[in-house]
Amino acid sequence: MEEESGLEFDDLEEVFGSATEYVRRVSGKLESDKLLYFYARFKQAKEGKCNTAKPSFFDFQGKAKWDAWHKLGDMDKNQAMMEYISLLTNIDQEWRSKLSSQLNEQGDTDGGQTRGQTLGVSVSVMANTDSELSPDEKDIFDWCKEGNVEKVRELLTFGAEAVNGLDEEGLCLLHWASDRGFTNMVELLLSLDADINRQDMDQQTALHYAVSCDHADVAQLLMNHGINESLQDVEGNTAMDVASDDMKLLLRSLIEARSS
Amino acid sequence: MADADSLHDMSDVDADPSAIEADAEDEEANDESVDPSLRKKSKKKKRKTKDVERSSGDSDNQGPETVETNLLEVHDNVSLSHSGVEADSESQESHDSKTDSHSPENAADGTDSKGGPDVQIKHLSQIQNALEMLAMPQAAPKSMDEAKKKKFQFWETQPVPKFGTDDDIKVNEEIEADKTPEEIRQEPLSLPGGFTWDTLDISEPLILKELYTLLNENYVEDDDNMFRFDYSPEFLQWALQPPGWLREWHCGVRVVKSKKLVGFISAVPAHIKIYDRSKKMVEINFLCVHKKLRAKRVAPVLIKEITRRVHQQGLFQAVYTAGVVLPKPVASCRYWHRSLNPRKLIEVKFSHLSRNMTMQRTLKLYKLPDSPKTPGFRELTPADVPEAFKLLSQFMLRYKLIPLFSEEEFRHWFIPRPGIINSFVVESNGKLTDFVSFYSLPSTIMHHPNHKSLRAAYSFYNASTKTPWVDLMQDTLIVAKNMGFDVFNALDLMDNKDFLEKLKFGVGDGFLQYYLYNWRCPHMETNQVGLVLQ
Repeated sequence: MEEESGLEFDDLEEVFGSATEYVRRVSGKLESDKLLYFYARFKQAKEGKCNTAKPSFFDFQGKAKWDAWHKLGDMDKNQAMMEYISLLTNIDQEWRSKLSSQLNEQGDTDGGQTRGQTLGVSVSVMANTDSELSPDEKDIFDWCKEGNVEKVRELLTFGAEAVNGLDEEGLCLLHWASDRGFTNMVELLLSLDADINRQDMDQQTALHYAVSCDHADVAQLLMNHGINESLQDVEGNTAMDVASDDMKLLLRSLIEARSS
Repeated sequence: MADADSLHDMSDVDADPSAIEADAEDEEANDESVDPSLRKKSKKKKRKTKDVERSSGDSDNQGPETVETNLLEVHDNVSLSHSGVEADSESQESHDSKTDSHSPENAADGTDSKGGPDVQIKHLSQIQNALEMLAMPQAAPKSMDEAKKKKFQFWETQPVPKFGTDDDIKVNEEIEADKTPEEIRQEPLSLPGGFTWDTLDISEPLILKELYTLLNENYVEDDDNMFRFDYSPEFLQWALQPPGWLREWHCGVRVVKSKKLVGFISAVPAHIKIYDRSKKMVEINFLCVHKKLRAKRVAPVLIKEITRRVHQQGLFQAVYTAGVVLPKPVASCRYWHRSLNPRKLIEVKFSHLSRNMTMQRTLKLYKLPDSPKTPGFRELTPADVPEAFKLLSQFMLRYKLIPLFSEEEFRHWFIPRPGIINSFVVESNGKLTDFVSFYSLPSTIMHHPNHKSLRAAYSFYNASTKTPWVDLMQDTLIVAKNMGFDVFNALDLMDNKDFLEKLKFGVGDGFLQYYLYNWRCPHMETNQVGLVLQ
C-alpha cells in the first residue's frame, strides 16, 4: 500500500496509535472476525508473543481472542502494527482524515475532563436562556438572524415568503441582517429586491441599525446601493445621529464620495 | 500498557513511559481553522449527550479521583476495544449504574457470558456496544445530586467531609489531628517511570515562562472548549509569591528525558477564618496536568505530594475551589457576568443575542456613563494602605469564610499592578469609606479568526460603608470598561447579590465550589462566603 510503504519507521507507532483510536471509535460497526484480527495484532504489538494460559473451553469469547493472538506466534511487533494498519486501511481508506476531523470536532480534549481536572477557578460564560428551536420551528426571520444565507435564499426563491414583510417586532429581514452585521445576507436580500429604504416600526432604516452597531461593511454596502441616509426615525434622528463616532467618520466620507 | 486488572490500583501510576514520552512531546492538534459557528453546533450536540448522562446519574467525575474512568477512556482506550471481557467485567463493578441506565441489555453481559456460538457473536457485539458507551466522554458532576450518587475513589481516602454522612454538620473543627513529624512521609511520592519532581523557581524568567506555557495550553476551559484561562507570567508571580510563599510549594512534574514541564500544583500560605475559628493553612491552586497526560493518574499524585509538603511545614488544613462537585463543598457559588463590550462577547459566543433582541438594543442596554459618578472615587495609592487595610479587614468580619490579611499581605494583594490587580477607594472628607478591587484574567479565545483574547475583570474584595453597592459597583464597571475590559465577572458571594441583577449582570454557566481540606463545619450560603481565590 502506498500509504504504508511511505511510512517512516518512527511514524509507525504514531500511526498505529491513531489506528487503534479509530478502531475504538468504529468498533461497534465492525464484524467480529475483523475485531479479532485487530485484537490479535494489538496484543502482539503491545505484549509480543501470546503468553497467557488458554481460557477454558466454555469461555468462548476469551478463547476466540486467545486463539487469534496465539496464532500469530513470534510475529514481529512492527509486522503486527503494519497488518493492523493494513486491515484498517482496507476497510476504510479515509480513516486517517476521518479521525483527524473527528478529533478536531471534539476540540483538544473533552470539556468535562478539562474542567474537572483542576483545583482552581472555573471558566464560565453567559448562560444561554433561549430555548433551542428545531429546524422545523424556525421561520425565515430565525434563519436570517442566524445568518443562514442558503436557507433564506431558498425560502425567498422557492417559498412564498415576502422579502419586505415585517415580523412581530416590526422589523423586516434587511433590518435584522443589518443589525446582526451579516454582509452576505444583506447582499442576498438586496439582490432579491428588498426595499432598501424600508423603515421599521420605529421608522429606522437598515442604515440606522448598521451604523449604531458599528457594522462598517454593512453600512458601506447599503450606501453603495443608494440607501437614503436622510430618513429619520420616530425620534427624528437620521442614521448620522445614531452612529457611533467611528461610524460618523465613515458615513461622512461615504456621503461625500456619493455627492462628488 | 495498563490492562483492566490494574485499573483499580490507585497507588501511583501505571503507564508506558515511552508512550508518555511520545505523547508529551506531541504538539497538540490545532483546530483553529474550524469555523466557530460550525464548531459551536457540534458542541451543542455533544453537550446534549452529556446532559443525558448527567440526568441518568452516572456522571463519572473527571476530577483527580476519577482517573480510573479517564484511564478507561483514554489511556487504555486501545485495549478496551480488544479485551472486551476483562474490561467489561471491570465495568460491572464500578459502572453498573451507567450500563444500566444506558442500555439494560448490555448490563446483562457480565452474567451471560456463557452461551452457544451464536450467543458468542451477539455477545461480542454487545460488549463492543457497551464499551462504546463506556468510552463516551464523561461529564464531571456539576450538581450535588449527581455527586451524591458518585463514588469518589480518591477523595474517599482523604480527610474531607462525605456526602450523606456529613450532610448536617454542627461542629466547626479539624477532621483529623495534626500529624507528628514521624507520621509525615519524608520522601516525595513516587511518579511513574519517565517523570520527575521539580520544584520550580518562578523568579527565574525562563521557568516562569514554562509554567505560563503549561497553563496557557492546558489549564481550565469552559464547557464548550472555546475559552481557556490565560494567566500572564506577572499574574502568576503575584498569585504565587505573596508574603510567606515557599518555593517548595511550587511543585512541578517534568518528563525526565526532554525536561518538559507537564504538571504543576501550588500552595500559598493563608490565614483563614471559618465561623469563629481562625487557622493558618494554605490555598491550593493551579493544579494542571498536560493534556496528553490526563489519563495517567498524575493529578492525585500531585495532590498527595503538595499535601505532604504542606504537612512538612506544620500545616494541616487547606482551602481550594473547583468547578466540579467533589466531597464536599462548604459553599457553592455561581459566576455572573456583566457585558462591557457586548458586541465582541456575542461575536466570540461568550454570550448570545436572544432571539427577539436586536444588537442595537443590546448595545444600548449595556451602555455605561463615561466616568465614575461617586465623588472621591479614585485609585488606591500606597499611602492609603494602612487605612484601606483597616476598612476592609473590619468590613470582612461580617462573612463566615474570610482571609485574615496582614497589612503586608494587603499591600501585596491590592496595590495596583497594571494588567494584574486594580483597586479603588472612595475618599470622603479625608476618610476612606469604600473599597473595591478586581483582578485581570484574560482568556484565550480558541477558535475565532479575529479575536484572540477575551479581557475579563474579576471582582476581588470590596467593602462598602457609605456608598451604596449599586453605585460603587457601577463606578467599578465604568473604570473597568474604560480600561478596555470586555466583561466584568463576579461570584454571587459576599454581598454581591445586592447589585448583580440591578447592574445587568447575567447569570453564568459556571459554578465555583468551595472546599476545606481536613475541616468540617456547617454548610454556608453564598452570602456568607468572603473568600476569593485567583
